[in-house]
Amino acid sequence: MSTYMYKTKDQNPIDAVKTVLSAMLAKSQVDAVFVAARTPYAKLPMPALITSADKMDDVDPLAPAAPLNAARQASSILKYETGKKIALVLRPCEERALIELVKLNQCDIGNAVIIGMTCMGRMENGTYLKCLDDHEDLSISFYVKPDLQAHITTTCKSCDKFLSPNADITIDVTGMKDGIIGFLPQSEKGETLLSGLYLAREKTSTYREKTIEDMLKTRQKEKEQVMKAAKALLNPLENFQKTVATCLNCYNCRTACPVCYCKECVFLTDIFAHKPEVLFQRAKKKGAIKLPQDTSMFHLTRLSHMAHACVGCGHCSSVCPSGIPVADMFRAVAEEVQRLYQYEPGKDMHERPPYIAYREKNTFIEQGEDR
Amino acid sequence: MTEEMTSKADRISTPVNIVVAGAGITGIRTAIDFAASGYKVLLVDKAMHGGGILTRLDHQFPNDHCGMCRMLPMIDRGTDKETCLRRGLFHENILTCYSTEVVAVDGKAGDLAVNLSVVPTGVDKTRCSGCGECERVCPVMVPDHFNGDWVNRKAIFLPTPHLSPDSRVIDWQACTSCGACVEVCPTHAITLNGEREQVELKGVYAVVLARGVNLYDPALTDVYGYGVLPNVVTATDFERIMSSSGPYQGEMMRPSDGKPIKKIAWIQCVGSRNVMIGADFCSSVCCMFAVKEAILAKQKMGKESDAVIFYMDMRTFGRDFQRYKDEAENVKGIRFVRMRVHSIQLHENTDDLLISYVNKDGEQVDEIFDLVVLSTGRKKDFLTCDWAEADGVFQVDRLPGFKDIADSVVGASAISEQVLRMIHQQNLKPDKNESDHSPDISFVERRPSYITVLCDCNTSLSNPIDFQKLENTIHALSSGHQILRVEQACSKEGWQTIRKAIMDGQANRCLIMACDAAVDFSRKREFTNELGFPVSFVDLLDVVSLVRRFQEGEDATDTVSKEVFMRLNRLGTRSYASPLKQAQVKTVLVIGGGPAGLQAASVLAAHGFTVKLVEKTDRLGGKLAQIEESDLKQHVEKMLAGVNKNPQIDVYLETEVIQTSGRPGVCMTKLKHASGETRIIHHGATILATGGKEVDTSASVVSESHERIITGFDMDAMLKANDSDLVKGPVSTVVMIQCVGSRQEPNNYCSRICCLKSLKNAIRIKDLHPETDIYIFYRDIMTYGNSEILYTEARKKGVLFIPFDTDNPPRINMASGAIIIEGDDPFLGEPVQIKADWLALATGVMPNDVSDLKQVFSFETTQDGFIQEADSKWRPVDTERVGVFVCGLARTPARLDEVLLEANAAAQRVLTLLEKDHTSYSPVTARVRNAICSVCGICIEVCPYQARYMDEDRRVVHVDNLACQGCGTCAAECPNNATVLGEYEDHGVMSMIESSL
Repeated sequence: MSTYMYKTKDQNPIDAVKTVLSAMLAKSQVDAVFVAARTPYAKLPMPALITSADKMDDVDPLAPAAPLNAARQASSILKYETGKKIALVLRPCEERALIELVKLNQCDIGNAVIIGMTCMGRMENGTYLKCLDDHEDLSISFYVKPDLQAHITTTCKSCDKFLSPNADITIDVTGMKDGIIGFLPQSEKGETLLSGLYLAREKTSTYREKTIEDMLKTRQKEKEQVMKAAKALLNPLENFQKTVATCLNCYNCRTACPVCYCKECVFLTDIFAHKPEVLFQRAKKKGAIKLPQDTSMFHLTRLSHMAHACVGCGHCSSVCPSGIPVADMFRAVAEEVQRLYQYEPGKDMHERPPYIAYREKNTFIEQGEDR
Repeated sequence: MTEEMTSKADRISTPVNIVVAGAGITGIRTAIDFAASGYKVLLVDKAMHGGGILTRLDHQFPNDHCGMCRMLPMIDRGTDKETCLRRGLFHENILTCYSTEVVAVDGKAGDLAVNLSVVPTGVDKTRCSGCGECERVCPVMVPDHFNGDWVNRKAIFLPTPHLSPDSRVIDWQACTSCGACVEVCPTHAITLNGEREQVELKGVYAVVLARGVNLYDPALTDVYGYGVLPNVVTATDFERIMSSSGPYQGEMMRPSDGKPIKKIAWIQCVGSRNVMIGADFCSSVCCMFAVKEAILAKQKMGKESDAVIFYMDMRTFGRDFQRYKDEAENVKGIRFVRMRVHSIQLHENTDDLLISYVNKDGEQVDEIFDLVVLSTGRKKDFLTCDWAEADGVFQVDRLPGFKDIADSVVGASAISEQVLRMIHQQNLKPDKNESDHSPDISFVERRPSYITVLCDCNTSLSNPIDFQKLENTIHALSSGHQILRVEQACSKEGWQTIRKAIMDGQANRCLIMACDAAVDFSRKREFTNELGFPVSFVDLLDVVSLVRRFQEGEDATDTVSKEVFMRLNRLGTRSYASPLKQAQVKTVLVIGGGPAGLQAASVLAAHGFTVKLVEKTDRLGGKLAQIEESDLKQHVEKMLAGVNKNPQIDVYLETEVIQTSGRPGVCMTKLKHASGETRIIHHGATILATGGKEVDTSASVVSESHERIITGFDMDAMLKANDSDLVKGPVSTVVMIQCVGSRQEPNNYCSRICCLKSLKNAIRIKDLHPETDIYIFYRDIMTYGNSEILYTEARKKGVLFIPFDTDNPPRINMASGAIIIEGDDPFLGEPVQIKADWLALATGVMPNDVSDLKQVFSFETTQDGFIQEADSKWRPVDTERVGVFVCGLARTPARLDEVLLEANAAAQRVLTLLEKDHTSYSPVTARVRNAICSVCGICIEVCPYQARYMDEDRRVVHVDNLACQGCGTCAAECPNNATVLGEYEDHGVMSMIESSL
């Protein structure tokens, strides 16, 4: 962890972030900035691609809301090497998802600058808007008032990966109680960029480590409980059927999932487009069937495809119209799969996914069986 | 009865080019080699079944798989009936005939008369439906020798498990000719005449003698009580105890009382390495066999179990064997005790077995075992036959020896190559397949129209099927469906009825609901050649096996209907593509000009191929100077001279391969000369013979150099020079230390040659100076096979052997200027200190660096840098890349004679690939649906054949149809079915699942 940080003169933390990002653009350190910003039409921050230093007014990366995981939007800009240098402000779960997408050949981040953050979590969209009614400066007060932090999503509450160790720069919000926001260089690239901006350099806030440590403890404790409850959503099989019973096959979870990368999902192809005869036949065999069909199949397939890469961002749960705890279910399976293959998604873009790297002789599987 | 019986002798009368005597693994390998080149092969065996010893083993080291099927040809595999060699061998050019012997061979190579003596099986295969009624009614019970005599079998029985079709055979010695089976047989397939028939074949090109070995019978040495103590078994018997097709269905219970087995001892070298019984040889495979059995047994026995191997030397002389043994010892908890067990006793009044021995610390230990396995090797005597030396007979092994699978396969292919060389030099041709038809395209492209054949042969079924109900189900599926009821689809009449119905009708999809006997390989071919059906458009539902799952008398109609329904749905989704044809370039690139490369090049040139021999250094011959066997040295020198004169061999010295492209049969490769000049050559196949070198690991035991501390290689060279100090003498004491820097990490493999070198050096010194004291510190002396005599000779001459462990190696002390070796003698139980005039360190070999070539050809290497073969047992000289082969030290440590044999085997693999002018490739290949492909590239990474590549500019994935082998790995990995495999598209599978739900 870096022992020093850079600070702007701005008193307002949001302004501080804007200053840094504008300076990067103004000094042509980067060609564009990818960051969450309020749109002229909505209060919720959406990912924005900004090329002009004076279009920073609505930038709001610290807002405790994220209608979507920005990784897939980021990958659409970084699809292949364009020669453009882009700074991306990402939450840790977004960054990890982006790294998974790199492994899947969906984007190239060789020329990107990743700006991460110490993430305190996000609220569901509705909660955020409601809180915003009472707190106009929600993006700042959220970091100061613990009662506001209590409104973050269940997934965020139990997330123990709230740091961005792979980012070039981390936005440190742990000092915001004292009105301090810092920029921690975490790579040579980050150091060069920050040092070129003539910011004040000082030691990291004294209680950064302490805050992180406490947060980790709380989060891990919460996670343990969530995981325990989540396992009951899946086992025995009947419980799983109950969990997904009200699935509409809207595929929102799949759309929201940042690592579900298929151009077209197999469930949209002809393979699952059943003829009426097939449905009649199925009904005839059992006397009655529930529609839509293949809902369990859909979730099981997505689990088998993506459990190893699940970064636990929770967006699948957020978008489910039926309130199915999709994320809890996924995280429970993901935890087991990732432990078995000793694979941590988003940790290292050179680490190969288990279905490519795994060889039968690998001993960790044998150990897994012995348990 | 309207038709005559088809006897085995009648079946043989088809033209035969090559007779292979012995249907063990070696015989099968050669038969496949010849068949793949289009020659008609008759494969015979004295035994009642093929497969030899391996039929009794389910798993093989080092990967504990079966894998026999990996020998089958990769190309055209889709047209074979099945892919499991345990079920039988079904190549269209191979006729198998068991209980058959070659009795005489006359004539000249290329035109032989071969006399066979055939014992009928008693069961006409063309009629038998495999119902098993005959076995049920047979009143005779005899011990089942296949299963260690623990259970009984009938006089009419299945000679091996898994056979398909499951036709039984009659054991004439046991048969009482009571006729019960004849009466009960519903298809009149049995004749009780066991008289030998004589068959004479004319115009046979060659006979291959692949006699294999007989296993030693330990009842002959009474010390271990085999045959008296019921819980003392042989290693092959033990395989049956573990097998799920064995006498106890794989339950680990012991023969005497069925008690669960929890503690087992293996005793090595029973019948081998025993000069008392004249067995001065090592059986080579038993050590690894025991380790494998111990691992599998321990797995089966569970946690509270114990497996102990009593051994003299653990001969882990294969490339990957030492690590396998170490893993057994350190990870799997197998115990290894160096001890020649004196005897086995019964423990008190139980069936338990007591072994007493003295351990390392000199204490007596009594251990009680549930079972003792004797690691029996081969019998001393060789099976002889009087025609073995006749002209035109090729013997796989001139000397008796027991080999592991890889060495057997290499030896077999090397013989195939010799046979084909004779055939090519005499310009003999294979008997062309008279019928090489492709299915009628207009026919296969019509919309699916079905015919379902229902065989009425219900008499043999113990469960009723309501055929009317079944017919109704099928009609409900689609109205235009043709249904044909026949009696006995397997009979000639039944077959004619089916043929006629298909020829007269419109159907282009056919489902036959009968038993396995109805459609054999030749009939499937008939479908394609005469009726225009691609094999994949015909499906056989084995109703007998299906119904067997039911309780007797239970109605099976619903299940059968469901199955029929499922199969029909599947057939409807099948599609057909014509095979792809490609002309081949009859030039071979051989990389490496050492003995292996020279051998491969000379052999291929003799077959008429052009060879491009590329050598990195400025001369050919490799480590020629180090070859000690004078005959082999002469051979290599002769080849060297021949290669330089041969117009068919182009030699490129100081040249490296820098780039390659293309596919098996047609490759383009770029060579670069040391001067920087490049050239492109065209070739059809590649042999990697990059060789290896001695590795000087003496630094691992001595810190400073000393003129009298040398390597085994140096000592060998000195002993060859007449004026050296060693030869002139006097020499008072010589010490040798084995396994210096080998058989432990990082070089944890046995180099195979160092023990032999040290022994030869020791014997030579003793011959020169009988008074010299020679001490050899060793871990395990690896004199496998017949080289055991060297070990015996050295001991007789007074060479002293002192074993050591890796945790307590001998120490070298040079403090006083003299060379003092300090160690511990476990036999004396005290430390020893030897002052040596000479100290020879047995250092090993390592492969030459191939990292550049690895980039070019994208093969895999082992952790020690050896080139990884496609399968270490079954395809030892193939790499995963089709058309790229490997031999010699590049692949594995080996003796020179073994290296040369491998080169022949690699040449044979090239022949198989390039002999035909054109190759047709499987039409079952993968394709990419670009519209929905996300271009993640996983399919490219997982493809084992490098058949996929990315077009970076257009961002699309392409498939090379000729390189694709249709394995389906890509389709399995692709998350959204953007890659699909020929006829195995999800539609078909989904519709099968749908109809089975």
